[in-house]
Amino acid sequence: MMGTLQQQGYALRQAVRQLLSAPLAHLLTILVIGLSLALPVVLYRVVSDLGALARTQAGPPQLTVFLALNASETVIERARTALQARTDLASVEYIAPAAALAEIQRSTHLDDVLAGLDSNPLPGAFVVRPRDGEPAALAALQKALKLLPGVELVQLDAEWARRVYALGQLTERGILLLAGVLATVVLTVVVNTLRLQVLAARAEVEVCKLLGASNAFVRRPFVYFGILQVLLGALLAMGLAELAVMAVNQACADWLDPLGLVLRLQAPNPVEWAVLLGGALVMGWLAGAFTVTLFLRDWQRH
Amino acid sequence: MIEVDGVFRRYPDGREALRGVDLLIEAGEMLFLGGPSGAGKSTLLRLIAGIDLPSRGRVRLNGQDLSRLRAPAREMLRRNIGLVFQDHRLLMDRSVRENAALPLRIQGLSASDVDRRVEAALDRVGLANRGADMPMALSGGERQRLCIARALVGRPALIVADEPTGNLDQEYGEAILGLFRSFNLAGVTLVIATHDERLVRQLGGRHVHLDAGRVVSDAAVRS
Repeated sequence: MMGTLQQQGYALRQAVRQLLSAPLAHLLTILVIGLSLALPVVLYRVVSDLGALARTQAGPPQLTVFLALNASETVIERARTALQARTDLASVEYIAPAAALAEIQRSTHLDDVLAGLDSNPLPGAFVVRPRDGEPAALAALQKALKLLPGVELVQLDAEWARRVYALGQLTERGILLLAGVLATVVLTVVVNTLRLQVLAARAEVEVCKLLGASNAFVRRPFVYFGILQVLLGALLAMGLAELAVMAVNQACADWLDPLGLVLRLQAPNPVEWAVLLGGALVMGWLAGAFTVTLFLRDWQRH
Repeated sequence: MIEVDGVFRRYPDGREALRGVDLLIEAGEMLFLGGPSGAGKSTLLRLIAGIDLPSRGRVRLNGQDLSRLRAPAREMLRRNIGLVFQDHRLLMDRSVRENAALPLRIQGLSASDVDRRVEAALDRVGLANRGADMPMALSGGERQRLCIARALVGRPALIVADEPTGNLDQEYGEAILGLFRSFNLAGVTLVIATHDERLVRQLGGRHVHLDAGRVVSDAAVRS
């Protein structure tokens, strides 16, 4: 145990020494890694916060639950009780036939036409707002509400919701794809840097192997080196993302606020940062282990 | 005890470096391997140290057949062998102290143990006051002594040295062989490949002469 700790400490010191041996070159690599990681983080924030703004501007999705014509007070009350009992609904509002007719008169100015009617042709209706705006959940809710006693028709007023949702999903997929491409870029950059490091340290690797070093002993400093590079890149990405959020927010305040649109990007939260740093750790480890294992395999073969 | 039993070694290019070598080296023995360049001295040393494996035949170290051991087990075994290379194989970007400490780092010893043993080893080879220097600042003889310090720092029971006096003048060469003699008196088994017959005669010990991959003579030499 003590021996392992000593070896880990030694490997870490070697990795730091390697990093400091050519600070400018490694700084450029870290900059590339930082930019590659910052880009998807900022784009994710933009899409996430723009989606929220779009939902706010368009209002929450709603369903209209039409009752049968001339539904009795008992039926209406039963329906109201059933709707209010549902936990997946945020609000339930009843619109009586007379109120609905008055609203049509007010908005369409068809007073003469409506005055010619013998009776009110409109049914009573409940306007309900679901908690979950996801299209599949809305469709399921629509189906469930249709089964309530006294309900004739359930209308989903959510075309906009579907569009916003689809657009959001599409953009999120795009960002995921971009993040994947950029993660590959980071891996390639780190693997290439490590390959050069290992080649430069070939004599050292050979001496260590001749003196009886295990593959793990040889691999460890390079793995730490890879991890350090990507972690420093991730920290730089955090700084860059914070700066980008500040810049975008300033631009939003200048250009969108006068139009009555309030958009402020949120800085990535601790969980998002933890995911970024954890991902960086795994990428650095993978790059280090992969590069040195390949090198050792090749070296041992010759 | 080292047993070399009917060993052949053929390189991938087809060159046969050893052609049926038999040798028994007792613990605590000092054995010199002589012979012209290309006789197979270095190849035999690499086989004894478990760096390479014979194409045919067996090398046993304290009864363990090296060919039957997997690479990690041979690496473990090599940590207990002191290796001295003709070309030193020093890490030029590390200090003298760090070079000497490398075998102990590989073994995972604590920092205090490493410091203590390294100081003792450097002191033994006369480099106690050069610990902070870089190898570039050392003369050829000092580099060879550093290589010897690195070989003995792990307190090995066996030291395998390839032409340890090859590039040195007589004075340095004698000093280094004197060091080996002192290790041998302390019970360390030594297998040394050297061209320098004069130094061998000065020190005495067993002298095995190789030629074209075969043992052509095996005799005790009196100092």
